[in-house]
Amino acid sequence: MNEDMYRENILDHYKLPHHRGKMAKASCSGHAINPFCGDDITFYLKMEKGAVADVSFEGHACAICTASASMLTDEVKGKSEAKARAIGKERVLEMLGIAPGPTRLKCALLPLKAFKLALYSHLGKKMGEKEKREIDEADENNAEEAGKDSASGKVSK
Amino acid sequence: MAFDVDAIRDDFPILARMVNGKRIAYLDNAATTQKPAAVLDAMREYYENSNANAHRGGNALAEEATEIYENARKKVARFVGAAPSEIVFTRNTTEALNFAARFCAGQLGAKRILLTEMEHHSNIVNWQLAAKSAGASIGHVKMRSYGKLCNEDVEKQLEKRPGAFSFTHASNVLGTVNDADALCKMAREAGAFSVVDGAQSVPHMKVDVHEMGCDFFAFSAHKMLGPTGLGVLYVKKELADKLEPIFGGGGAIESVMLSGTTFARAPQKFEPGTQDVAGAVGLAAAIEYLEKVGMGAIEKRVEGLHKACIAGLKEVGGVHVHGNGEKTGIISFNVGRLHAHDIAQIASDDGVMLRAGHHCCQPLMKVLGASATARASFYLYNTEEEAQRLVTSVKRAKKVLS
Repeated sequence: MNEDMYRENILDHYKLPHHRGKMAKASCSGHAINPFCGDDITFYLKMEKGAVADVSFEGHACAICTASASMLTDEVKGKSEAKARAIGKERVLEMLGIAPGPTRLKCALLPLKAFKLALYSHLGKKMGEKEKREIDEADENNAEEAGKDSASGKVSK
Repeated sequence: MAFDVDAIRDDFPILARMVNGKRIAYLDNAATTQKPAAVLDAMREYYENSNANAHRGGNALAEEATEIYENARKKVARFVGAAPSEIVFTRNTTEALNFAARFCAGQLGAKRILLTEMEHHSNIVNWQLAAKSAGASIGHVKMRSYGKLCNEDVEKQLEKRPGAFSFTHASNVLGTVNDADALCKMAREAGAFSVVDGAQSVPHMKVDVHEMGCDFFAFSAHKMLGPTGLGVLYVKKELADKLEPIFGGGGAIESVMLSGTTFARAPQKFEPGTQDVAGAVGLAAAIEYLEKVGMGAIEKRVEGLHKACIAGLKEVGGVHVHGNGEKTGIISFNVGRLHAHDIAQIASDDGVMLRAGHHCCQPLMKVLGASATARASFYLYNTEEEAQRLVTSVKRAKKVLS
């Protein structure tokens, strides 16, 4: 299963990530940490006319997490709020093209968490239970070493 | 006698395991060690022939089980230079350290606790909990960047008159060994009880708790070829006699009336409820195995593997090794800017089992300035070839990821 985890598309995004860097005038941001391995990802969004006009991310993370963040920026850019909201775990894994084990699944989904936190802070809404569960799902397998994840989203003025 | 690693490897069935079509190179011994057939056989033999509830009832089997359990305790006591009545069986090192923390901050009245920056979470969180309920404060001895404690720092902290000083004998991240004898002496002279986390030291070196002069000493069976689920807390005799149990229940009492209870003598008073007799049997068998090979020979062997692996890693370039774990066979490292998880993943794909992460030592990692490291840790059954496989995997990781 792990044999091809470092496949070409993942390595390409890892070595040259898309939309990397802090966004100066972001509408909102979302920050998620995985204390299990120290991965740390922040997503910045520029929201215009009900859509994701621009997106970027920064942080330090393993190859899987970095590639996942990079692919996710490509995926959400230009999407309407509703379509961006609908992006879930399945889509992220589909883009990565791997089926990671419980530990690496958490790496793969951390950017989605940061993105959703940013989006929801902008929408000023609470995340639905189903969506929340989907993002948090990967955490449950790692309670042993990590304790709880810390994450936060905020709206920029 | 020459160290016959092939014969030793034959004693460990799991070492023949294949992962991804490759034979495993198990280099995660600081997390847990593998078990020789002798340990598994001893536990099975106990269940098949002698199983009964130790310290309960006078039937022949129960008496036999009691004798087996207490003989295991004697073996453990002798192995670390203690008296049997000073050896309390727990679930693991973590539980043992939790007991020690609650004894010190509770009955022994420590109002200030001294720890170090290089502790495992199991020797931090236990004290935070105990200090909170006792209203005690906590201080920390700095870890110098080379992975050691400095006596001057310790003395300075001891001037604040802590009631207890708890420290690790050997770091699970760096593998560096603290001078426990000296630290216990300093604690004693400052009027502090000493608590030593020996989880990483007992598997690798001859430990004598009386010579060390500690008040409490904790270690785990599973890191020294024994089963999971069994730990040991050494409690110095005069304290063991004086302290009251934290948990109550059957088997730990002398007499129970509805108005109150008088307790059994140490160590039984600290072991309420049915005990893990098979676990104790397994630990005793593990000790027999270690003694048969010889602790001195194991130390030398592990040191040799450590040296060979360090030499190999140095040739890779860009590898930074944290601390010096030659005595404990631990090599904690980072490779350039590569993430430790990626290195461990690629090594795992090659069949090489490493650990990556913060190793339950977040404060220490902060001092190192790393969010995660990759860690290889060797034990008596590892080979130079396995050390070389690690080096090859690190080279491959570098190639794949950069």
